[in-house]
Amino acid sequence: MERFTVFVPKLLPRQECFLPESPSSCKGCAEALAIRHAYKGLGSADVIEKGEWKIPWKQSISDLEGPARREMFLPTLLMIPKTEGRVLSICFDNEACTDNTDRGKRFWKKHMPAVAVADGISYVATACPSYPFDLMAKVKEGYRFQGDAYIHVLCPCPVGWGFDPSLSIKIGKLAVESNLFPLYEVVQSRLSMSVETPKPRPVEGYFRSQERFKDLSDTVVDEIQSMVSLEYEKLQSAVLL
Amino acid sequence: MNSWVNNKVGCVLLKEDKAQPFNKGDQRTRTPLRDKEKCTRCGLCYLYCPDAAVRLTGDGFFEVDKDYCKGCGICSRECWFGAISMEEEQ
Repeated sequence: MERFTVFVPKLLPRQECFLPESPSSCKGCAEALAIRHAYKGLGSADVIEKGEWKIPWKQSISDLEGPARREMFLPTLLMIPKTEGRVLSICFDNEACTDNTDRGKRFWKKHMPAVAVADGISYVATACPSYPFDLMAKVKEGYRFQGDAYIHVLCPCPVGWGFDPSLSIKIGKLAVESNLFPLYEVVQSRLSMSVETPKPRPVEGYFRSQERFKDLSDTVVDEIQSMVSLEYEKLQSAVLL
Repeated sequence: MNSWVNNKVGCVLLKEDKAQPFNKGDQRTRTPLRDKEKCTRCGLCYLYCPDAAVRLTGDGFFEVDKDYCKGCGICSRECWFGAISMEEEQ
């Protein structure tokens, strides 16, 4: 019973630190939802009111220009200072490659959590707004944790990815259930899975539900499927270690 | 509140400024309608609303604030009991 937790949306803190009237977002924006959940997880007691989002934030690595940005392929980063000069970084990844020179090229996505683990960051986690309580718990843990923390959040983008705005939550769940974006946390380089997928869905459903992958052929989808299974097996073996 | 429709350049802020004084509900084409007989007051719509437009009212039900709702339809899609339907805006 010590691991028993109640997940009731009604009992969440009622205060909205992320004001809906301040930043302007599109319909069904999961990034806005992720920021809202992150602030609910942080609570408003320890954060300083500053700027539009009532929290100190900084877009740091995304300010890089030119080939460095293109090579590294880094998305928006929200950095929240903690005590003793430590930082909690939350990356809201909407998988938008806005650089037109890369169009047509095929490359695998930069695996940011692995980079963070290799960098010696003591708390690394992945999250998705489709699993809100998981996201809130991870943000809370990352803020409470002694040392640097990094959280990678996958945010489905209806406009960029090409699907109906009402499907934002479903697409995030699909990405997790088909092992494309496994949810896990690495505490002091010990990995533990947050969501187990004993029977993963085929990745085809995820790719065929979005307009941005409309010119993906079946052979490429099969290639991606084998790649994803391989990656997930690697992750599973890391859990067993 | 100002309307986005009356903006000189459509949906573009000319000054580097906050979007606060603008009404977000203008871009809505569909409105969520709640069937209070099916609603169990679980709060999933409140949890999943990206714009925090769903608010708790005095009688325990959740209501949509029309000034902020953009009509994305997430609440209708995620409701387990099918209590929310999307109606075309007049």
